[in-house]
Amino acid sequence: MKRWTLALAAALMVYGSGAFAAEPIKIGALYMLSGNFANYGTSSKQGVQLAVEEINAKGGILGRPVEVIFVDHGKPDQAVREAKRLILENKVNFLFGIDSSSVSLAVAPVADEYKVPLIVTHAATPRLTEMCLPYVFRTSNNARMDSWAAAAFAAKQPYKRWANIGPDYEFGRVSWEDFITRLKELKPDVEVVSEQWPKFGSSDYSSYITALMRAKPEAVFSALWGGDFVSFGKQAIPFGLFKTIKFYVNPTGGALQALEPLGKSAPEGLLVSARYWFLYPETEANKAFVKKFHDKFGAYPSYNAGEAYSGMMMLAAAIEKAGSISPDAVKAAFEADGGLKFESVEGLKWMRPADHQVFEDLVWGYTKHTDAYPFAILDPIVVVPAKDTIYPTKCAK
Amino acid sequence: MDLSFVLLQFLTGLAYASSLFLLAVGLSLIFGALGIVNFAHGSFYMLGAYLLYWVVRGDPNGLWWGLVVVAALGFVIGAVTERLLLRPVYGRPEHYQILLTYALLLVIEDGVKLLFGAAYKSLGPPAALAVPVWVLGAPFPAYYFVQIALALGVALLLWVFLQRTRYGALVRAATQDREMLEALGVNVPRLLTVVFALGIGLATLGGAATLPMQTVSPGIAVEAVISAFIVVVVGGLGSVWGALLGAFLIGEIQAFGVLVLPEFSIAFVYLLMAVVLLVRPWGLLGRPPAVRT
Amino acid sequence: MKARGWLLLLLAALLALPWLLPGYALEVAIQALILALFATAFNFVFAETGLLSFGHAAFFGGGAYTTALLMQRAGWPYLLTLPAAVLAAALLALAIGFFSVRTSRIYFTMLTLAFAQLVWAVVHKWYDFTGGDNGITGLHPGALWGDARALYYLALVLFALGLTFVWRLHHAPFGYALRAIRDNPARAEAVGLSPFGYLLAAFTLSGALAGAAGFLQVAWQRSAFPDFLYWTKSAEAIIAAILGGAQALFGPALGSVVFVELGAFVQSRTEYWPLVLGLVLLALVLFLPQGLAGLGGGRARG
Repeated sequence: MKRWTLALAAALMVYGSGAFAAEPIKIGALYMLSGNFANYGTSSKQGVQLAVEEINAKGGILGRPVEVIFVDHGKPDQAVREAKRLILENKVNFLFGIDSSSVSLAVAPVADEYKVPLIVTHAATPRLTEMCLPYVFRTSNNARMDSWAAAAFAAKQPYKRWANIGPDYEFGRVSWEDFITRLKELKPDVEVVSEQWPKFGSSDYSSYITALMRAKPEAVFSALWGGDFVSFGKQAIPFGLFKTIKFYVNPTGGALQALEPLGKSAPEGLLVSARYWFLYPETEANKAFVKKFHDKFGAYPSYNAGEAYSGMMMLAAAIEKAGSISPDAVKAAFEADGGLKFESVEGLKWMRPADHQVFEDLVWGYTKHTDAYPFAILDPIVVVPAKDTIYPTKCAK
Repeated sequence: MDLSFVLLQFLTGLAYASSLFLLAVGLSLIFGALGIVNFAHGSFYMLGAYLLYWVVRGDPNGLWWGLVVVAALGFVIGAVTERLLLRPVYGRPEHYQILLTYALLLVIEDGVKLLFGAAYKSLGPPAALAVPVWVLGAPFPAYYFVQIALALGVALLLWVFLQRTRYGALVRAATQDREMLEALGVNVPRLLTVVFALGIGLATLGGAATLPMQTVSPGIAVEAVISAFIVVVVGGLGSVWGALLGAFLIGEIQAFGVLVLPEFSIAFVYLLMAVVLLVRPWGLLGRPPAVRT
Repeated sequence: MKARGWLLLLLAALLALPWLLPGYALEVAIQALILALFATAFNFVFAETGLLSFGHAAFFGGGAYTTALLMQRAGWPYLLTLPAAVLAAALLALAIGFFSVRTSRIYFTMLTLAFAQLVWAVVHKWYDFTGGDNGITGLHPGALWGDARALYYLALVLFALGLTFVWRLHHAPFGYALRAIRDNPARAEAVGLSPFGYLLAAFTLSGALAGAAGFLQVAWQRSAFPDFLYWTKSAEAIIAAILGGAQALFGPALGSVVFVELGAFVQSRTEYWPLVLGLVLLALVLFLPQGLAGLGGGRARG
């Protein structure tokens, strides 16, 4: 339905302004709109909607309006079918979005086979950009960069006894592996006292929490996210975990999807990241974006909404630079001059030409309650400069 | 391993077992009396959590009356579901019933998304229970004792109902021979409505009772129903006490499995299920099917 | 004679389809054929023995993973993995069937469900071998089978072979024995039929066919994922079979076409596909107990 209204709005604008005689640029956006993580997909979709509205209001890209077709990517088999439909039936010029890592790994080779550029804005498995596919790009940071940033913070702490509790699947495992490997490089005397692997999507964490606490860690790393982070947090508080340990670090723990349900009960002083945080940077551009988003959807933009918005704007910039929507021209625009540098609402994004991975400053912060918001915010904010997250790539360029 | 820690771990296992029991007991009860495997059972469990969130309007202290209201709502929803949807398919082969409850699973999943939105819903424990209780010098969430007490209370009441009341005796009889009951002049259709409504009421109560320590979102039903299946497969389909035993074993295996091989603690649960399936395919406390029918 | 005429017409239409359908519709048609083979496989056991398996995803996924692993690790050409996929699925079915077919009715359903979930858990967790939840991606079946038309014909041939196989078994003494066991196990045993042996054989053959469907899915999707083995995948075969009509030979295939086409249609328009599917199933169960085949007068399989 939304897709129709959007198309209709775009069409009306075309007639209204008379500006576009040109054929629209078609973008197929795949997001997780059903199931357990539908709220992530829904807010990503809102980010794209706002971006496209703004782009079209300013006359489109290359004078052509942008038309986005949103679909629910569901599980990998549904996602592959929908991707094929967008390519073969809707004849989209670009594929865009994707929330789930496994879906991104399934869709990327298909996009590559049909030579339709895929721009990923959320899925964070490092493996996606390690596939070195020529038509696959990621405009948000990946899990490895977050883990490296966490390790950089951890190395500055005096704590030696570390423990992990993470969701038992690819993202959780890779996050911890990257984190602890990096931390041991930076600070060789750390010791891992406990690793806990609750099932992804678990509801009960209590026995993992008690087992973790028994090992008496000084500091804990966790890659739990979404509903898992909320349930874990609610259970860890009465067990006194956050009071017993001295340091807690959690990539994507700063997601609004997780902080809002926890409300005022969220513990303070946890070091968490948000790939984008709506109160940072304090630029006019970002404030304007947050206001427009809040006016339109009645909510603050989540990190993935911000990434979706910025990703669309960055794609628009690449197309403008290429002067064409041909896949090779856009690819060249992303890669040329040492990689596209794009000033987004969340700051500078640099596309590394070799593996098509964006590097950007990462927003971290300590949770804190204020009167201004009914949920914990990041205060103080700590920013990890992009250069500290640049890891080597095998992809040749 | 020191004693206080063993006790702590035992209690966490017990807390988990309590929510598993409330989730699975209705499934088993319904199968026993109606012969229906309710694939939508996890969906009603999820619905219970949403209903609690809705009726207390974000007030954690509304939990007590909220649980009562949710269980009552669940009972009514169960009764209506049985009368309108299940009754027409009783005489038909099992696969219609399976398909019907599977359809309910799908409808409820999207239904809660339409009604409550896709965001995670969460509600804290009541103020009085937001503090830890000290167990041999270790902090333990006070709310878990409520969950454990609730599960034990339900088990006890079910025992009294099934073993000590006339209506309970009829329910037990229904699991053996429905035709005989009918011949004796018992209002069997109403009996089946009551059992189904009771099972669904227990599922919604169980789901609601988890909300103070967990979060709810539309996708949890599919996971929940599989957990419920594992419990009843281990304990024995149709057996209330089997559900209790199954939930207890799985809760404790999870709690202590974490200590032995943290990487494979989930595998222990599946391993238990596999062993039970190989040794007693009808479950620990289930009745072996006498003849192929 | 008349039936044969219709059959030939249908065959001609199916053969001409790749040249008539635009690209995406052909991709959906391949999906429909794959599900048709999977649902027919499931339905063989269901219709002949009355046993409802909720574990066929294990055989579908088992076949798919055999193909995927052989392609990825041993570099086998796609087509050569077919026998291996079928064999692996058959062995898996033999093992699960060995423990399940002794039990009756709903216990059988629950047991097959439990065993299949066990297999899913192994595939989902065994990162070193199966890639865990990442699945196995980037599997290109080569220039020939990577082409949608060729893959369509391959799927059509396998489906036709599967259907013929099921039809022949139905009319063979084996089929009569299965139905005798289904209708009256005590008498069947009295005349010397061993239910266990017959049911296990039927279950194994059915699993083997499901493995062939999994083999096809890998080429279509260019990847294999643990979702192939999850219980909701088994539900797809069950829904397709009952939707089309489990007692008709073409029922499961008909149901598959409707299921896939409806899914593709709805999913491209709204994310509320589960709701739509749920309502369709409710209507089916309550108002159309014979399935879609029942609309045409409920012709029994023959």
